[in-house]
Amino acid sequence: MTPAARRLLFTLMGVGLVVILLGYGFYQDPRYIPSPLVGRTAPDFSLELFNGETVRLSELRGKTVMLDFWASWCVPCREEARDLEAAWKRQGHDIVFLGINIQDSKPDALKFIEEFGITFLNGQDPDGKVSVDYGVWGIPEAFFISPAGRITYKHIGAIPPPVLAAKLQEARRDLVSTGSGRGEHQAIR
Amino acid sequence: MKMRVTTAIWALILTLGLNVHADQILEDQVRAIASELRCVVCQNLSVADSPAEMAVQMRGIVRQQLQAGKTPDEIRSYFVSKYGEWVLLAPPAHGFNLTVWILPFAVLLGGLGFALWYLRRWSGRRRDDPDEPLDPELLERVRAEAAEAGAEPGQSPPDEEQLRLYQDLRELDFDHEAGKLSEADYEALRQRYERQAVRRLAETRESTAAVPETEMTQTIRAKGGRRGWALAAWAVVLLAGGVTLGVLLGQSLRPRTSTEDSITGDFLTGTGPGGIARPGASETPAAALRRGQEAFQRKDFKSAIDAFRAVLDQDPDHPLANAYMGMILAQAGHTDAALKALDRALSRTPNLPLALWAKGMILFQEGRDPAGAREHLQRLERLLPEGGQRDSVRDIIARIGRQQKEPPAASAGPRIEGTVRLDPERPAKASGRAVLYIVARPAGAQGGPPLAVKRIAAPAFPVSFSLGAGDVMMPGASFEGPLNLNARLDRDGDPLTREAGELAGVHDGNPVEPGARDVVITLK
Repeated sequence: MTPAARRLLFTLMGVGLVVILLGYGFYQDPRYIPSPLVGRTAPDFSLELFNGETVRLSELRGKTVMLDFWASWCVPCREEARDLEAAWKRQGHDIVFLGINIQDSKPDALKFIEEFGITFLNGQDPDGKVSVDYGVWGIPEAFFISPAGRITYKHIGAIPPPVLAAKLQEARRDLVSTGSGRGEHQAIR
Repeated sequence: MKMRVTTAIWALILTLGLNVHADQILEDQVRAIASELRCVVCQNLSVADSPAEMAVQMRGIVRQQLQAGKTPDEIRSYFVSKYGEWVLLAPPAHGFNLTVWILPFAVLLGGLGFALWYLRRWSGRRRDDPDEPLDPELLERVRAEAAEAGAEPGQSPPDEEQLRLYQDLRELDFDHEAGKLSEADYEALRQRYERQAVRRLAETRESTAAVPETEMTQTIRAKGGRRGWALAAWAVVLLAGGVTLGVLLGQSLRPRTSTEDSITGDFLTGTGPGGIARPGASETPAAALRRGQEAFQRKDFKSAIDAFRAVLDQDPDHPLANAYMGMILAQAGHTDAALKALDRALSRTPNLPLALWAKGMILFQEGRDPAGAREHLQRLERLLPEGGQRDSVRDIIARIGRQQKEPPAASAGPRIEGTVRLDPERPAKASGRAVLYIVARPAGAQGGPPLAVKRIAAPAFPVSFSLGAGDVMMPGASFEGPLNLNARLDRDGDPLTREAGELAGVHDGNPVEPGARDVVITLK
């Protein structure tokens, strides 16, 4: 190879590297935060429910739990609300749906629950402690917890009913997904 | 009696000051940790700088964990365990992350090394050593080719540089023959051009020795080679310049802390992160505040004033600095200026304990406005936890109550007492800057200056008031009836300006005589 051809090759390699790096950078969503929690034990918390009762996650050990972080001002949360309620009504007693309302006012949250006729357990996280414990950054955000208390899957955005059903079955068998799911979501405030 | 009260006041001020100091240290720690965490809902802002609700909640969690005795490292680890290393604004220097730390410096050093090497090579080529031994064969060839320059050369054809040197030699010969050059100059210049031409020929021969010349490589070497190196050198210089500019701009720009502040800082204007340069204002407001608090506690008021002024220069409404200034001014006997500073402190932080305490005590001690003193101290009492401080405040409130029932001889004379309240059907919230004016005018007077005015800053409704001879505005006038009473809630606290929609009210039972009690004015 002549020195000139070698120089040309090196220049092309340099330019190619920069283009690849730029392409990779543009393809990445800088807002997306990969969760380190999937596969780990779900952080325990105590939540005051809208019905006045208090629920502690560790007390639900032995049941499959689906945590759903939501807010009344979140459009994708409205989109998935009826699907979640329908899925909840189809499930057996060994599965618990627990809605965690964040960055919201209580009257707005109650209005939302009434509007969509939601019957599964729901409570509010007023100081954001549970949200931060679960690394929440967009809503709706769903966490699937196996009967052994392990997070098997995380889905950010409205969750399609078939995915919901499949991931509940996986959580029931303590099968941890390799990645998180993504759908239409809204950044929290 | 007065001595005992003053001692008690100082003890309480020092205790409150220490508490405020501890709070300040905690807030500084919260800020330090939060400034290393990335806000999860906004781009490239730290949790300390972000106004997002989530960032506020995260700061709250940092505060709680610090109060629970966790170390900054443990708190950082907690957030990393929830959001991954993404949450750290500066990625830790280990593993793959090392690339981020090392690569820029490696590229910079590589670029500088290359530029250095290229410059040395370039300057070496231009260096002319008259004692350098020349290859006689090449010298012969140079002379032969120079003589027939312009014509097609016999062996390997010279490049542009070589042609230029041959041209120079021919022009030199021409000038010499025309008698334009001396013999000595001609010899010196000829030898110099010949040496350069021989060196160039030798370089060309070395670089093409391994590869047989073809038309394409000749063209690339002649035209593209030099240009390629020049471009590479420019690229390195631009890269180094860009990186330097980026680093320096990053240091020189910062968010504005006030409308008077400049967006540039540090090396451009010599100002720190706090604000625009003023003598002695190079420290941050937090550092100046700490210095002031320490000076205040050792009663070094001169240093304290300097420090608090430095804070107020950068943030004129700084609540704590204004509160301390108010206390110092009150000590020096400048009561009006003190009340102004305290009102400023309360305008931004209506529940600042230090300011509530100082204002309450000033109003109480000066005998100006016992009702106002009681109102401020009651607000403070509600803020304090059960214990010594709260009991002390309660004692003073009780003392004010007793004095109000038995007014001292100095303020003797009939007074008008009553309450100002908000219309229950139109509940309104008074802002921290609002000031309530209760005005008494002689009945029948149309406009003109009021006889007496009571000013109550940051009122908490219902407000009880007491209007007497001490509140008379006109010199020499006596507090006599019949009087018409009205009240106005001024939103910005400036009695000369009036804004639309400000609440005002008139006493339904006007006119009243001094001595009247239970006067009620409803603001609508």
